[in-house]
Amino acid sequence: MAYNQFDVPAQTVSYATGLKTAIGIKAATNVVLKLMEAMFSFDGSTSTATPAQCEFDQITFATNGPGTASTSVTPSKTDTGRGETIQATAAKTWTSQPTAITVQWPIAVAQYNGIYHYVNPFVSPFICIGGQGCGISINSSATVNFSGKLHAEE
Amino acid sequence: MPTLVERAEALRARNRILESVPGSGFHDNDRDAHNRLAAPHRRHEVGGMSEGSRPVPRISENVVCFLTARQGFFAGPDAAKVLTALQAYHARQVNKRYRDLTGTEIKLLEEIPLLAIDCENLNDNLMVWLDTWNDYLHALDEQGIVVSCLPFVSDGVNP
Repeated sequence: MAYNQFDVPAQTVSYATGLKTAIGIKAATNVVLKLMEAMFSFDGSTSTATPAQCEFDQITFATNGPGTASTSVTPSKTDTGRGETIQATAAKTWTSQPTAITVQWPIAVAQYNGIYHYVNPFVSPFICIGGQGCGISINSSATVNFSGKLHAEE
Repeated sequence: MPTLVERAEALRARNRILESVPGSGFHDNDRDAHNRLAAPHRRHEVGGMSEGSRPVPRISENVVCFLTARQGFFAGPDAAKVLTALQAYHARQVNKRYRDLTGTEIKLLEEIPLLAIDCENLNDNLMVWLDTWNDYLHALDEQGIVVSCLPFVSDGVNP
């Protein structure tokens, strides 16, 4: 199995203030995951709202792996005809933060219809080793809706 | 040591507490910044965040799966509920034209009839291999069942 690409979506999730992991993927044991895109947006309607502090994180998932203290997400294959199952597990909307998190890159994104889309260069995808993963965490200054996705390959 | 069934009930009890706390994101009257209903089980309603979408159950009604590195176990009433839902999914798919099926659906048509509840070990458990986990998750999504997960060996943080 190779070149099995997929998206992990999270649509219009309402977030109050406080740091929360919004989307995450955990690679299956012994299956490396190549993360190629991270994209998210906010739909706030107050132009003066302080931007949300957002992070792309490495996560070991020592506790609160996908599905625990979060909502399981079925990854969507980009080649729907393939029979191979995506091995990684995914989730959204953590109610308790997973551990252990290492910030890979932070960015402030406007809550007033802000959007951020990072496509990893072909030569430098983000690699998650088997049994560990990555995710997007956000910390907004007011309640705001989040939509986004992670695009990966295994 | 609590059984898997007891741990599943403890998780649902914790989720019921979340549903009772305004602002948790799961309370009946929680709303987003545009004043739309935000709780997952109310988002499909008129005035909800995803009006007209497929309804999902309250998080206190989620089935619970206990995960090891390679297997997932549903125990007791959850095992029966999941197996019934998967069989209903299979019954719906089996009448479709083969050429219309996605790779995931073809795989599920082959795998679901092989599932059975083990009545001799671990509180009547239904075991699924994690290498087909996302296929089962897809089928359960289609049947309106949402899965919460716990580590098979308690991590000391969760039930």
